[in-house]
Amino acid sequence: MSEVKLFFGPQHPGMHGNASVHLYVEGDTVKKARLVPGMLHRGFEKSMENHTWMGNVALIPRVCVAEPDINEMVFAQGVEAIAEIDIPERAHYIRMIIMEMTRILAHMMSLGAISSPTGLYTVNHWMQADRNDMMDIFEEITGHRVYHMYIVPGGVRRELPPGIEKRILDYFTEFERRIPEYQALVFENPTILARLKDNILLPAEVVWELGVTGIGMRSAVGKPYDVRKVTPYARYDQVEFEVPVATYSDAYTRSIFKVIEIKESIRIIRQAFDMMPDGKVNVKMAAGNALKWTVPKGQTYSAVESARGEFGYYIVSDGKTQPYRIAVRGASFPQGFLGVERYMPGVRLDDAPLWYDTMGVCTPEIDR
Amino acid sequence: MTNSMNSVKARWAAQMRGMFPDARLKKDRGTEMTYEILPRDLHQILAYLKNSGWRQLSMITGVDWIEEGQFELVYNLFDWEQGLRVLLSIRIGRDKPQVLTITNIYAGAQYYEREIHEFFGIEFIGNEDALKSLFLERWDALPPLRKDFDSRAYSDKKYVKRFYDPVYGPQGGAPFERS
Repeated sequence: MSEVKLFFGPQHPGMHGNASVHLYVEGDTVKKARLVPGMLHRGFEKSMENHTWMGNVALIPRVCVAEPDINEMVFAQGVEAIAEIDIPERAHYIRMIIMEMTRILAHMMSLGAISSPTGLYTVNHWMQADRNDMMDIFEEITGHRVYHMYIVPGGVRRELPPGIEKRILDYFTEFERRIPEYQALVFENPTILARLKDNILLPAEVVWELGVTGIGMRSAVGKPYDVRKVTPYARYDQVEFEVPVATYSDAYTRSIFKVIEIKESIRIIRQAFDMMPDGKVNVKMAAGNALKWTVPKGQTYSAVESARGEFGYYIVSDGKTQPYRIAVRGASFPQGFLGVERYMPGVRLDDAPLWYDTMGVCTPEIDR
Repeated sequence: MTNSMNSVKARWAAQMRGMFPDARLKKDRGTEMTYEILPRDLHQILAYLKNSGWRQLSMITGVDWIEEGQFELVYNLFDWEQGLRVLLSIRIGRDKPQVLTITNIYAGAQYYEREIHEFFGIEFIGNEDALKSLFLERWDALPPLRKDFDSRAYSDKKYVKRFYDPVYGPQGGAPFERS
Protein backbone atom coordinates (compact mmCIF):
# COMPACT_ATOMS: atom_id res chain seq x y z
CA MET A 1 0.00 0.00 0.00
CA SER A 2 1.40 3.39 -0.85
CA GLU A 3 1.84 6.25 1.54
CA VAL A 4 -0.40 9.29 1.16
CA LYS A 5 0.20 12.71 2.62
CA LEU A 6 -2.83 14.34 4.22
CA PHE A 7 -3.30 17.63 5.98
CA PHE A 8 -5.18 17.71 9.27
CA GLY A 9 -5.91 21.42 9.49
CA PRO A 10 -5.66 24.40 9.28
CA GLN A 11 -9.28 24.21 8.10
CA HIS A 12 -10.66 21.13 9.78
CA PRO A 13 -13.51 20.85 12.28
CA GLY A 14 -11.31 18.83 14.65
CA MET A 15 -8.42 21.28 14.64
CA HIS A 16 -8.14 23.76 17.49
CA GLY A 17 -6.96 26.97 15.95
CA ASN A 18 -5.15 27.40 12.70
CA ALA A 19 -2.34 24.90 12.68
CA SER A 20 -1.74 21.97 10.46
CA VAL A 21 -0.64 18.44 11.22
CA HIS A 22 0.97 16.87 8.19
CA LEU A 23 0.04 13.20 8.25
CA TYR A 24 1.66 10.48 6.20
CA VAL A 25 -0.93 7.77 6.01
CA GLU A 26 -0.82 4.16 4.84
CA GLY A 27 -4.28 2.63 4.60
CA ASP A 28 -5.90 4.37 7.53
CA THR A 29 -2.92 4.20 9.86
CA VAL A 30 -0.82 7.25 10.53
CA LYS A 31 2.82 6.47 9.76
CA LYS A 32 4.40 9.84 10.34
CA ALA A 33 3.07 13.12 11.75
CA ARG A 34 4.46 16.61 12.14
CA LEU A 35 2.83 19.70 13.57
CA VAL A 36 3.43 22.64 11.24
CA PRO A 37 2.70 25.88 13.08
CA GLY A 38 3.22 29.43 11.88
CA MET A 39 -0.24 30.23 10.54
CA LEU A 40 -1.25 31.65 13.88
CA HIS A 41 2.04 33.29 14.75
CA ARG A 42 1.39 36.86 15.85
CA GLY A 43 4.76 37.64 17.40
CA PHE A 44 3.41 38.11 20.92
CA GLU A 45 6.75 37.83 22.67
CA LYS A 46 8.29 40.58 20.54
CA SER A 47 5.16 42.66 20.76
CA MET A 48 5.12 42.51 24.56
CA GLU A 49 8.57 44.09 24.64
CA ASN A 50 7.17 47.06 22.74
CA HIS A 51 4.21 47.68 25.05
CA THR A 52 4.09 49.24 28.50
CA TRP A 53 3.48 46.99 31.50
CA MET A 54 -0.14 48.11 31.73
CA GLY A 55 -0.62 48.19 27.95
CA ASN A 56 0.31 44.52 27.87
CA VAL A 57 -2.80 43.66 29.86
CA ALA A 58 -4.84 44.27 26.72
CA LEU A 59 -2.50 42.18 24.60
CA ILE A 60 -1.79 39.03 26.58
CA PRO A 61 -5.27 37.47 26.93
CA ARG A 62 -5.14 36.89 23.20
CA VAL A 63 -2.42 34.27 23.60
CA CYS A 64 -5.00 31.59 24.36
CA VAL A 65 -8.47 32.05 23.00
CA ALA A 66 -10.44 29.45 24.93
CA GLU A 67 -8.89 30.29 28.29
CA PRO A 68 -7.67 33.91 28.30
CA ASP A 69 -7.57 34.66 32.03
CA ILE A 70 -4.61 32.40 32.76
CA ASN A 71 -2.45 34.83 30.81
CA GLU A 72 -3.60 37.80 32.86
CA MET A 73 -3.04 35.83 36.04
CA VAL A 74 0.53 34.68 35.29
CA PHE A 75 1.44 38.15 34.11
CA ALA A 76 -0.03 39.89 37.15
CA GLN A 77 1.49 37.34 39.51
CA GLY A 78 4.92 37.62 37.95
CA VAL A 79 4.95 41.41 37.99
CA GLU A 80 3.81 41.45 41.62
CA ALA A 81 6.56 38.96 42.52
CA ILE A 82 9.27 41.09 40.90
CA ALA A 83 7.93 44.32 42.41
CA GLU A 84 7.33 42.55 45.76
CA ILE A 85 3.84 43.92 46.17
CA ASP A 86 1.09 42.29 48.21
CA ILE A 87 -2.41 42.58 46.88
CA PRO A 88 -5.61 42.83 48.98
CA GLU A 89 -7.09 39.62 50.34
CA ARG A 90 -10.38 40.13 48.53
CA ALA A 91 -8.61 40.35 45.17
CA HIS A 92 -7.14 36.85 45.69
CA TYR A 93 -10.61 35.38 46.10
CA ILE A 94 -12.03 37.25 43.12
CA ARG A 95 -9.10 36.02 41.04
CA MET A 96 -9.79 32.46 42.12
CA ILE A 97 -13.43 32.75 41.10
CA ILE A 98 -12.43 34.12 37.69
CA MET A 99 -9.76 31.46 37.21
CA GLU A 100 -12.12 28.62 38.02
CA MET A 101 -14.85 30.03 35.79
CA THR A 102 -12.42 30.23 32.92
CA ARG A 103 -11.23 26.69 33.60
CA ILE A 104 -14.83 25.53 33.26
CA LEU A 105 -15.13 27.48 29.99
CA ALA A 106 -12.05 25.75 28.62
CA HIS A 107 -13.18 22.30 29.72
CA MET A 108 -16.58 22.89 28.11
CA MET A 109 -14.86 23.86 24.90
CA SER A 110 -12.69 20.76 24.85
CA LEU A 111 -15.56 18.45 25.81
CA GLY A 112 -17.55 20.01 23.01
CA ALA A 113 -14.64 19.35 20.70
CA ILE A 114 -15.17 15.61 21.14
CA SER A 115 -18.20 16.12 18.92
CA SER A 116 -16.38 16.75 15.67
CA PRO A 117 -14.25 13.60 15.54
CA THR A 118 -17.11 11.43 16.80
CA GLY A 119 -19.86 12.99 14.74
CA LEU A 120 -22.12 13.80 17.68
CA TYR A 121 -22.56 17.51 17.22
CA THR A 122 -25.20 17.80 19.92
CA VAL A 123 -22.47 17.89 22.55
CA ASN A 124 -20.89 20.90 20.95
CA HIS A 125 -24.18 22.77 20.63
CA TRP A 126 -25.09 22.19 24.28
CA MET A 127 -21.64 23.16 25.47
CA GLN A 128 -21.55 26.29 23.37
CA ALA A 129 -24.95 27.31 24.71
CA ASP A 130 -23.70 26.95 28.28
CA ARG A 131 -20.50 28.79 27.43
CA ASN A 132 -22.62 31.60 26.08
CA ASP A 133 -24.47 32.02 29.37
CA MET A 134 -21.18 32.03 31.22
CA MET A 135 -19.82 34.68 28.87
CA ASP A 136 -22.85 36.83 29.69
CA ILE A 137 -21.78 36.63 33.32
CA PHE A 138 -18.25 37.61 32.34
CA GLU A 139 -19.67 40.52 30.42
CA GLU A 140 -21.44 41.75 33.51
CA ILE A 141 -18.31 41.44 35.65
CA THR A 142 -15.68 42.74 33.27
CA GLY A 143 -17.45 44.39 30.35
CA HIS A 144 -16.00 41.87 27.90
CA ARG A 145 -17.14 38.47 26.73
CA VAL A 146 -14.08 36.67 25.42
CA TYR A 147 -10.95 38.56 26.49
CA HIS A 148 -11.66 39.98 29.90
CA MET A 149 -8.55 42.02 30.84
CA TYR A 150 -9.85 41.89 34.38
CA ILE A 151 -6.92 40.55 36.39
CA VAL A 152 -4.27 43.27 36.39
CA PRO A 153 -1.01 43.71 38.28
CA GLY A 154 -2.08 44.93 41.73
CA GLY A 155 -5.37 43.05 41.99
CA VAL A 156 -8.41 43.09 39.74
CA ARG A 157 -9.64 45.97 37.65
CA ARG A 158 -12.86 46.74 39.51
CA GLU A 159 -15.20 45.50 42.21
CA LEU A 160 -17.68 42.73 41.41
CA PRO A 161 -21.06 44.16 40.38
CA PRO A 162 -23.84 43.90 42.99
CA GLY A 163 -25.91 40.75 42.82
CA ILE A 164 -23.36 38.84 40.77
CA GLU A 165 -22.89 36.22 43.48
CA LYS A 166 -26.49 35.09 43.16
CA ARG A 167 -26.30 35.07 39.37
CA ILE A 168 -23.15 32.94 39.32
CA LEU A 169 -24.37 30.50 41.97
CA ASP A 170 -27.77 30.16 40.26
CA TYR A 171 -26.01 29.44 37.00
CA PHE A 172 -23.95 26.68 38.59
CA THR A 173 -26.94 25.17 40.41
CA GLU A 174 -28.68 24.88 37.08
CA PHE A 175 -25.52 23.64 35.38
CA GLU A 176 -24.93 20.97 38.03
CA ARG A 177 -28.45 19.72 37.49
CA ARG A 178 -27.59 19.13 33.86
CA ILE A 179 -24.20 17.44 34.34
CA PRO A 180 -25.81 13.96 34.55
CA GLU A 181 -27.46 14.68 31.21
CA TYR A 182 -24.11 15.51 29.67
CA GLN A 183 -22.60 12.40 31.14
CA ALA A 184 -25.39 10.30 29.71
CA LEU A 185 -24.96 11.93 26.34
CA VAL A 186 -21.19 11.53 26.12
CA PHE A 187 -19.89 8.99 28.57
CA GLU A 188 -22.68 6.44 28.42
CA ASN A 189 -22.95 6.63 24.68
CA PRO A 190 -21.72 3.37 23.11
CA THR A 191 -20.56 5.14 19.93
CA ILE A 192 -18.32 7.51 21.81
CA LEU A 193 -17.21 4.93 24.37
CA ALA A 194 -15.99 2.67 21.59
CA ARG A 195 -13.79 5.49 20.38
CA LEU A 196 -12.53 6.60 23.79
CA LYS A 197 -12.02 3.46 25.90
CA ASP A 198 -8.57 1.88 25.68
CA ASN A 199 -7.71 4.18 22.84
CA ILE A 200 -4.92 6.77 22.57
CA LEU A 201 -2.87 5.71 25.58
CA LEU A 202 -0.45 7.95 27.43
CA PRO A 203 1.93 5.92 29.63
CA ALA A 204 3.75 7.52 32.56
CA GLU A 205 7.16 7.15 30.88
CA VAL A 206 5.94 9.20 27.95
CA VAL A 207 4.67 11.88 30.33
CA TRP A 208 8.15 12.28 31.80
CA GLU A 209 9.86 12.03 28.44
CA LEU A 210 7.84 14.81 26.85
CA GLY A 211 7.17 16.94 29.91
CA VAL A 212 3.37 16.69 29.69
CA THR A 213 1.55 18.35 32.58
CA GLY A 214 -2.05 18.78 33.67
CA ILE A 215 -4.72 16.16 33.16
CA GLY A 216 -2.45 14.07 30.94
CA MET A 217 0.17 13.83 33.66
CA ARG A 218 -2.21 13.22 36.56
CA SER A 219 -4.15 10.53 34.72
CA ALA A 220 -0.94 8.61 33.99
CA VAL A 221 1.31 9.16 36.99
CA GLY A 222 -1.36 8.72 39.67
CA LYS A 223 -0.24 11.63 41.85
CA PRO A 224 -2.01 14.98 42.39
CA TYR A 225 0.57 16.97 40.45
CA ASP A 226 -1.43 20.15 40.13
CA VAL A 227 0.23 23.58 40.44
CA ARG A 228 -2.68 24.63 42.67
CA LYS A 229 -1.73 21.86 45.13
CA VAL A 230 2.06 21.68 44.74
CA THR A 231 2.89 25.39 44.85
CA PRO A 232 -0.41 27.09 45.73
CA TYR A 233 -0.94 30.58 44.37
CA ALA A 234 -3.80 33.03 45.11
CA ARG A 235 -5.61 31.37 48.04
CA TYR A 236 -5.83 27.80 46.78
CA ASP A 237 -4.27 26.59 50.01
CA GLN A 238 -7.32 27.89 51.91
CA VAL A 239 -10.03 26.07 49.96
CA GLU A 240 -10.78 22.38 49.81
CA PHE A 241 -10.82 20.54 46.53
CA GLU A 242 -9.85 17.17 45.12
CA VAL A 243 -7.64 16.54 42.13
CA PRO A 244 -8.61 13.39 40.23
CA VAL A 245 -5.75 10.97 39.60
CA ALA A 246 -5.35 7.63 37.82
CA THR A 247 -2.60 5.36 36.62
CA TYR A 248 -4.13 4.34 33.33
CA SER A 249 -4.50 7.16 30.87
CA ASP A 250 -6.67 6.52 27.85
CA ALA A 251 -8.85 9.01 26.00
CA TYR A 252 -11.79 8.12 28.24
CA THR A 253 -9.95 8.82 31.51
CA ARG A 254 -8.66 12.14 30.28
CA SER A 255 -12.13 13.19 29.13
CA ILE A 256 -14.02 12.14 32.25
CA PHE A 257 -11.41 13.98 34.36
CA LYS A 258 -12.63 17.19 32.78
CA VAL A 259 -16.13 16.58 34.13
CA ILE A 260 -14.72 15.85 37.60
CA GLU A 261 -12.59 19.00 37.46
CA ILE A 262 -15.62 21.08 36.47
CA LYS A 263 -17.43 19.82 39.59
CA GLU A 264 -14.42 20.61 41.77
CA SER A 265 -14.13 24.08 40.24
CA ILE A 266 -17.74 24.79 41.14
CA ARG A 267 -16.92 23.67 44.69
CA ILE A 268 -14.00 26.12 44.81
CA ILE A 269 -16.16 28.98 43.55
CA ARG A 270 -18.80 28.35 46.25
CA GLN A 271 -16.14 28.29 48.98
CA ALA A 272 -14.50 31.41 47.62
CA PHE A 273 -17.77 33.33 47.80
CA ASP A 274 -18.23 32.17 51.41
CA MET A 275 -14.72 33.04 52.51
CA MET A 276 -14.29 36.28 50.59
CA PRO A 277 -13.59 39.21 52.94
CA ASP A 278 -14.73 42.77 52.23
CA GLY A 279 -12.28 45.44 51.32
CA LYS A 280 -10.31 46.88 48.46
CA VAL A 281 -9.81 44.91 45.28
CA ASN A 282 -6.62 46.49 44.01
CA VAL A 283 -3.56 48.46 45.01
CA LYS A 284 -1.57 50.86 42.89
CA MET A 285 1.63 49.36 41.57
CA ALA A 286 3.31 52.75 41.64
CA ALA A 287 2.38 56.35 42.06
CA GLY A 288 1.12 58.32 39.09
CA ASN A 289 -0.10 57.37 35.66
CA ALA A 290 -0.61 53.62 35.15
CA LEU A 291 0.94 53.83 31.69
CA LYS A 292 4.17 55.24 33.07
CA TRP A 293 4.94 53.02 36.01
CA THR A 294 8.07 50.96 36.07
CA VAL A 295 8.88 47.56 37.54
CA PRO A 296 12.18 47.09 39.41
CA LYS A 297 14.94 45.00 37.90
CA GLY A 298 14.47 41.29 38.28
CA GLN A 299 13.32 38.09 36.70
CA THR A 300 10.90 35.38 37.71
CA TYR A 301 8.93 32.48 36.35
CA SER A 302 5.29 32.57 37.28
CA ALA A 303 3.05 29.58 36.68
CA VAL A 304 -0.59 28.64 37.12
CA GLU A 305 -2.58 25.48 36.51
CA SER A 306 -4.49 25.93 33.30
CA ALA A 307 -7.07 23.50 31.94
CA ARG A 308 -4.23 21.82 30.05
CA GLY A 309 -1.49 21.95 32.65
CA GLU A 310 1.29 24.17 33.83
CA PHE A 311 1.09 27.51 32.06
CA GLY A 312 3.80 30.05 32.76
CA TYR A 313 5.53 33.24 31.81
CA TYR A 314 9.20 33.91 32.30
CA ILE A 315 9.35 37.66 32.91
CA VAL A 316 12.48 39.80 32.82
CA SER A 317 12.42 43.45 33.83
CA ASP A 318 15.28 45.90 33.44
CA GLY A 319 13.59 48.59 35.49
CA LYS A 320 11.97 50.43 32.59
CA THR A 321 8.38 51.12 31.60
CA GLN A 322 8.29 48.11 29.30
CA PRO A 323 9.18 44.46 29.92
CA TYR A 324 12.65 43.46 28.77
CA ARG A 325 11.55 39.98 27.82
CA ILE A 326 8.54 37.76 28.36
CA ALA A 327 8.62 34.13 27.33
CA VAL A 328 5.45 32.07 27.24
CA ARG A 329 5.34 28.44 28.27
CA GLY A 330 2.25 27.12 26.57
CA ALA A 331 0.90 24.19 28.53
CA SER A 332 0.47 22.14 25.36
CA PHE A 333 3.90 22.81 23.85
CA PRO A 334 5.40 19.38 24.76
CA GLN A 335 2.54 17.23 23.51
CA GLY A 336 1.84 19.53 20.57
CA PHE A 337 5.28 19.20 19.03
CA LEU A 338 7.24 16.21 20.28
CA GLY A 339 4.08 14.34 21.25
CA VAL A 340 2.59 14.61 17.77
CA GLU A 341 5.91 13.67 16.18
CA ARG A 342 6.61 10.62 18.34
CA TYR A 343 3.26 9.29 19.49
CA MET A 344 0.66 10.19 16.91
CA PRO A 345 2.05 7.60 14.45
CA GLY A 346 0.21 4.35 14.99
CA VAL A 347 -3.23 5.80 15.63
CA ARG A 348 -5.96 5.51 13.04
CA LEU A 349 -6.56 8.44 10.76
CA ASP A 350 -10.01 9.16 12.22
CA ASP A 351 -8.56 9.12 15.73
CA ALA A 352 -6.05 11.87 14.94
CA PRO A 353 -8.48 14.69 15.89
CA LEU A 354 -9.40 12.75 19.04
CA TRP A 355 -5.70 12.44 19.88
CA TYR A 356 -5.30 16.17 19.43
CA ASP A 357 -8.29 17.00 21.59
CA THR A 358 -7.83 14.58 24.48
CA MET A 359 -4.11 15.31 24.79
CA GLY A 360 -5.18 18.89 25.38
CA VAL A 361 -3.46 20.77 22.60
CA CYS A 362 -4.33 24.44 22.19
CA THR A 363 -2.62 25.79 19.09
CA PRO A 364 -2.70 29.55 19.83
CA GLU A 365 -0.57 29.12 22.95
CA ILE A 366 2.00 27.06 21.05
CA ASP A 367 2.14 29.41 18.09
CA ARG A 368 1.60 32.68 19.97
CA MET B 1 6.29 26.09 52.53
CA THR B 2 6.54 23.88 55.59
CA ASN B 3 9.55 23.55 57.87
CA SER B 4 10.38 20.03 56.77
CA MET B 5 10.41 21.20 53.17
CA ASN B 6 12.66 24.09 54.13
CA SER B 7 15.17 21.73 55.67
CA VAL B 8 15.07 19.48 52.60
CA LYS B 9 15.72 22.54 50.49
CA ALA B 10 18.58 23.73 52.70
CA ARG B 11 20.21 20.30 52.58
CA TRP B 12 19.89 20.19 48.85
CA ALA B 13 21.27 23.71 48.43
CA ALA B 14 24.28 22.78 50.56
CA GLN B 15 24.90 19.71 48.40
CA MET B 16 24.70 21.85 45.32
CA ARG B 17 27.29 24.25 46.76
CA GLY B 18 29.65 21.42 47.57
CA MET B 19 29.42 19.74 44.20
CA PHE B 20 29.35 22.76 41.93
CA PRO B 21 31.31 25.59 43.57
CA ASP B 22 30.99 27.75 40.44
CA ALA B 23 27.20 27.74 40.59
CA ARG B 24 26.04 30.99 42.16
CA LEU B 25 22.64 31.26 43.81
CA LYS B 26 21.27 34.45 42.35
CA LYS B 27 17.77 34.60 43.77
CA ASP B 28 15.73 32.51 46.16
CA ARG B 29 11.99 33.14 46.02
CA GLY B 30 10.94 30.33 48.33
CA THR B 31 9.77 27.78 45.81
CA GLU B 32 11.91 29.12 42.98
CA MET B 33 15.70 29.19 42.99
CA THR B 34 17.77 30.82 40.28
CA TYR B 35 21.36 29.68 39.76
CA GLU B 36 23.92 31.29 37.53
CA ILE B 37 26.20 28.57 36.24
CA LEU B 38 29.04 28.17 33.76
CA PRO B 39 28.17 26.70 30.37
CA ARG B 40 30.69 23.89 30.89
CA ASP B 41 28.87 22.73 34.05
CA LEU B 42 25.43 22.71 32.45
CA HIS B 43 25.18 19.05 31.47
CA GLN B 44 26.61 17.78 34.72
CA ILE B 45 24.18 19.84 36.76
CA LEU B 46 21.22 18.89 34.59
CA ALA B 47 22.06 15.20 34.86
CA TYR B 48 22.43 15.52 38.62
CA LEU B 49 19.13 17.38 38.97
CA LYS B 50 17.25 14.97 36.75
CA ASN B 51 18.35 12.09 38.97
CA SER B 52 17.46 13.90 42.16
CA GLY B 53 13.84 14.67 41.42
CA TRP B 54 13.69 17.42 38.81
CA ARG B 55 12.23 15.13 36.20
CA GLN B 56 10.44 17.81 34.27
CA LEU B 57 11.95 20.37 31.95
CA SER B 58 9.35 23.13 31.95
CA MET B 59 10.96 25.27 29.30
CA ILE B 60 14.14 26.69 27.88
CA THR B 61 14.21 30.32 26.96
CA GLY B 62 16.64 32.96 25.84
CA VAL B 63 17.24 36.58 26.78
CA ASP B 64 19.29 38.94 24.65
CA TRP B 65 21.53 41.19 26.79
CA ILE B 66 22.75 43.28 23.90
CA GLU B 67 24.60 45.88 25.96
CA GLU B 68 26.72 43.21 27.61
CA GLY B 69 27.15 41.37 24.31
CA GLN B 70 25.69 38.19 25.74
CA PHE B 71 22.83 35.79 25.37
CA GLU B 72 21.35 34.26 28.47
CA LEU B 73 19.78 30.82 28.29
CA VAL B 74 17.45 29.82 31.10
CA TYR B 75 16.72 26.15 31.77
CA ASN B 76 13.58 25.79 33.82
CA LEU B 77 13.21 22.58 35.84
CA PHE B 78 10.42 21.56 38.17
CA ASP B 79 10.27 18.91 40.86
CA TRP B 80 6.63 17.96 41.33
CA GLU B 81 7.28 16.00 44.51
CA GLN B 82 8.90 18.83 46.47
CA GLY B 83 7.26 21.65 44.53
CA LEU B 84 10.63 23.28 44.00
CA ARG B 85 11.59 25.04 40.79
CA VAL B 86 15.19 25.53 39.70
CA LEU B 87 16.15 28.02 37.02
CA LEU B 88 19.65 27.51 35.63
CA SER B 89 20.99 30.43 33.70
CA ILE B 90 24.04 30.39 31.47
CA ARG B 91 25.60 33.25 29.52
CA ILE B 92 27.25 32.89 26.12
CA GLY B 93 28.85 35.39 23.76
CA ARG B 94 26.63 37.08 21.21
CA ASP B 95 28.77 36.47 18.13
CA LYS B 96 28.52 32.97 16.75
CA PRO B 97 26.59 31.69 19.77
CA GLN B 98 26.86 27.95 20.25
CA VAL B 99 25.89 25.60 23.04
CA LEU B 100 25.65 21.83 23.31
CA THR B 101 22.18 20.31 23.06
CA ILE B 102 20.57 18.77 26.14
CA THR B 103 18.21 16.46 24.24
CA ASN B 104 20.19 13.43 25.47
CA ILE B 105 19.22 14.36 29.05
CA TYR B 106 15.76 15.88 28.53
CA ALA B 107 14.22 14.64 25.27
CA GLY B 108 11.55 17.31 25.53
CA ALA B 109 14.17 19.98 24.88
CA GLN B 110 14.18 19.27 21.17
CA TYR B 111 11.55 21.79 20.13
CA TYR B 112 12.50 24.42 22.69
CA GLU B 113 15.99 24.42 21.19
CA ARG B 114 14.57 24.66 17.72
CA GLU B 115 12.44 27.62 18.74
CA ILE B 116 15.40 29.39 20.33
CA HIS B 117 17.52 28.78 17.25
CA GLU B 118 14.85 30.38 15.15
CA PHE B 119 14.23 33.41 17.37
CA PHE B 120 17.76 34.09 18.65
CA GLY B 121 20.03 32.35 16.17
CA ILE B 122 21.73 30.25 18.84
CA GLU B 123 23.07 27.01 17.47
CA PHE B 124 22.59 23.83 19.46
CA ILE B 125 25.41 21.44 18.60
CA GLY B 126 24.11 17.90 18.28
CA ASN B 127 20.51 18.82 17.54
CA GLU B 128 20.34 18.72 13.74
CA ASP B 129 16.60 19.17 13.84
CA ALA B 130 16.98 22.56 15.51
CA LEU B 131 18.49 24.06 12.36
CA LYS B 132 15.21 23.81 10.48
CA SER B 133 12.68 26.61 10.62
CA LEU B 134 9.61 26.19 12.80
CA PHE B 135 7.25 29.16 13.07
CA LEU B 136 8.68 31.57 10.53
CA GLU B 137 8.54 30.36 6.99
CA ARG B 138 11.26 31.70 4.67
CA TRP B 139 12.54 34.21 7.20
CA ASP B 140 15.02 36.57 5.58
CA ALA B 141 16.20 38.88 8.35
CA LEU B 142 17.88 38.81 11.76
CA PRO B 143 16.36 36.36 14.24
CA PRO B 144 13.41 38.41 15.45
CA LEU B 145 13.74 38.25 19.21
CA ARG B 146 17.22 39.78 19.14
CA LYS B 147 17.13 43.28 20.49
CA ASP B 148 18.73 44.75 17.36
CA PHE B 149 15.83 43.51 15.24
CA ASP B 150 13.40 46.36 14.68
CA SER B 151 9.92 45.12 13.81
CA ARG B 152 8.78 48.48 12.44
CA ALA B 153 11.79 48.87 10.12
CA TYR B 154 11.41 45.30 8.91
CA SER B 155 7.75 45.77 8.16
CA ASP B 156 8.43 49.02 6.30
CA LYS B 157 11.08 47.35 4.18
CA LYS B 158 9.19 44.14 3.55
CA TYR B 159 5.68 45.29 2.78
CA VAL B 160 4.44 47.93 0.39
CA LYS B 161 3.02 50.92 2.19
CA ARG B 162 -0.52 51.50 1.07
CA PHE B 163 -2.00 54.96 0.89
CA TYR B 164 -5.65 55.65 0.42
CA ASP B 165 -6.99 58.83 -1.06
CA PRO B 166 -10.69 58.71 -0.38
CA VAL B 167 -12.94 61.04 -2.27
CA TYR B 168 -16.06 61.98 -0.34
CA GLY B 169 -19.32 62.50 -2.14
CA PRO B 170 -21.79 65.28 -1.35
CA GLN B 171 -23.61 63.04 1.15
CA GLY B 172 -20.41 61.47 2.35
CA GLY B 173 -21.35 58.37 0.38
CA ALA B 174 -17.92 57.42 -0.91
CA PRO B 175 -16.26 54.43 0.70
CA PHE B 176 -14.23 55.34 3.72
CA GLU B 177 -10.98 53.43 3.96
CA ARG B 178 -8.23 53.83 6.45
CA SER B 179 -4.58 53.25 5.72
